[in-house]
Amino acid sequence: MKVLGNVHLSAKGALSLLSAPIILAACSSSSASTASPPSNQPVTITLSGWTSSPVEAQLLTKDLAGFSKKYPYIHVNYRPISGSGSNYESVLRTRFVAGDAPDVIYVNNGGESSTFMANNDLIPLNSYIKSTNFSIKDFYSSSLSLFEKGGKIYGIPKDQSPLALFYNTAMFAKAGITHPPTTWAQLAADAKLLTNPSQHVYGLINSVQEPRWAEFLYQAGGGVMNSSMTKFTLTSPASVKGYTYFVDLYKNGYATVPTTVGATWGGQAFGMGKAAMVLSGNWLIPFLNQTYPSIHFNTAVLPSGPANNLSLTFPVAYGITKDSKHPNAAWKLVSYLTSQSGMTRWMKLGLALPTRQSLVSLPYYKQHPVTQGLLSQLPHSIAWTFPPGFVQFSSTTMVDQTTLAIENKETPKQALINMQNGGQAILSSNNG
Amino acid sequence: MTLPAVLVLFLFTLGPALYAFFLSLFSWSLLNKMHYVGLSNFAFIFASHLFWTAVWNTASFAFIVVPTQTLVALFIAVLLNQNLPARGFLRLAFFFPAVSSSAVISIIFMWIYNKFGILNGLLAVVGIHGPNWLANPLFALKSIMIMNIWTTSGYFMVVFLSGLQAIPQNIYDAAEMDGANSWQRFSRITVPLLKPTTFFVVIMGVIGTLQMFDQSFILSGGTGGPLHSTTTLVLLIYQYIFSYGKVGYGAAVTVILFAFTMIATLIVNRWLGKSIEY
Repeated sequence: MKVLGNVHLSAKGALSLLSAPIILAACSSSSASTASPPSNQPVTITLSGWTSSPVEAQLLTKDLAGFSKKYPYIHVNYRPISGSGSNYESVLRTRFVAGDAPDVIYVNNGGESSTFMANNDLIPLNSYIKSTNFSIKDFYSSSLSLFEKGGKIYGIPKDQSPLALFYNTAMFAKAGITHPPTTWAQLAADAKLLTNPSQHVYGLINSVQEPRWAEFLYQAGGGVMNSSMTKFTLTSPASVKGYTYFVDLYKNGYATVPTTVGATWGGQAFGMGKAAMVLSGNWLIPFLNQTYPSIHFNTAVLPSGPANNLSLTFPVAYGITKDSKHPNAAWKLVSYLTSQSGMTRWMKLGLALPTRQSLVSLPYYKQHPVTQGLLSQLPHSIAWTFPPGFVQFSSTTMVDQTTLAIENKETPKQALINMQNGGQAILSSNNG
Repeated sequence: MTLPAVLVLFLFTLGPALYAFFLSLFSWSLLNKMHYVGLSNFAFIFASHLFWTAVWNTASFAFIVVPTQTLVALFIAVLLNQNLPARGFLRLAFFFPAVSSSAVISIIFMWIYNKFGILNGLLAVVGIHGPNWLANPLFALKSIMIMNIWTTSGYFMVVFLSGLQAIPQNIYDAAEMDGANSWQRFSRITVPLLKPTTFFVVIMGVIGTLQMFDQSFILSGGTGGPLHSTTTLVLLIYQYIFSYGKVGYGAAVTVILFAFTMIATLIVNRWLGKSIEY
């Protein structure tokens, strides 16, 4: 679609690990009103986000209790939007059309956020950052740049999590495996050893969504798109190599999709004790602790492929919508949640990893060694993102092609060619 | 007196319907400014593989579900029109799915159809290794058909029951005197005299199945998968408009679905809609 074209900036920093420094000086032209209402006049603002699991809503509610103590005149209505897949953004879209979007929303990096930024549905935060001396230097530029476009900052990254390898320590011990796999060859060998189809136990269980296999492309030295996101690189020899390795794990029977064991997602299969390993993010830890407390597990960095052991990371930001009637109060909430102390509090609830570099050395992580694999993965990860207009492509086309490949209905190479052609077609129609 | 009704009709039914026709000629993402694109949305849709998959899924769903649910409903209605013990309980049991929310039923059936769910557990008892119903493209839509037939048959059973009870008993008595056996009484009296009821059941069935959305949406997690095997036309409309922000495509499919539904209704009307003669 024509209207969605010309917006690549949000994605620009994502794939280049060496993002440009953020230039504050360029931001002063922002016109957002900073004329504050008489303070202490009671206002109500709404906060909406998706929930990675019911645990997230509980933890955030807990954190918000502290905010209402500090700012008794700002009442925060927390209204999580439930549902799977792109449901969150579908709901937000309708709220934007109605001119009734929540004041503060979660902004993600892979879906339609870039569209929301492109259409000015989010307000630039530069003037608020400036007027309240909110320091953004501490944020990983790879996270912050996802929510930045043309010098304007549309979201303050609240947390992130890379995908790391979760492994069932009891199953590993039983199979006589002393340490998690560190190479592709070990991953395949361990997965084979741990698989027992008659017990419905598999070495690795993950769905075949793009973020669960793209890392293998990077690890082989390939990738999904070039760094400026103007071209797909799915059919490069390195990409084909990484993808074929992933598909072969499934074709050989050491890996399978969650529905094979009656689960809806990989983390659930892992909790049920049906998967010895799963690629997942920090959000799995509180889920397992609450839902499957008897599972013994640990995390490790992803095994290395021929090139590296890169993973994907998923930064999420807080943004303020154009429909907000109380942007100043909304900013108070955003800055409360993402400040040094706010993020420290949030990190201690154990759902995700920080987007502030200074918090990586939090004592919390020493006390919770299970997060070590995720923390060690963080420097070796790429923020997951797509240009605007790719939701259908990434959520269905890429899943379908990979399903066909693991079911041996087409070769990995053919699946990649089909995705490459489909992706290029969208790119050219976006620019046309 | 009719003015409020007309207003409501226009505001909530006709108005949005006309708006869909209007939108099918525009490109709009809900968030940006719409612009006129003529018939190019239709050109895109007719060339789209996904659209034809949805047409095939919707049509096969209607072709299998409507006759099956009509026959099942008629069969149960005739059965429960007899003097059976616990007749009231059985009527309630069959009608129960119709008053439950289809979302709740879909979630219950997700567990029934789970790889290790009740259905495969029962099949295992008789030595059948059940498939992964909802994850297998060969079975996913059929699973929804079975669920849909189970859900709607009870409702149409009640409709048939009322139709059966409107047939005067003396016709049956006269036929019996003339020596008609029970099959003849059923096929020569019940079936023809039920024609207005059957007409209603088939029309509602056709419209309902062509509009099937919620069950596919819930059982596939909103994706219409696996491999688009449960993508129906209405699910496709939803995805285009709300998930992918392509309102024009969604509206174009809506217009096409309107045409399909109208044609199907006209055909049924020709076939069953004639007034009956005693």
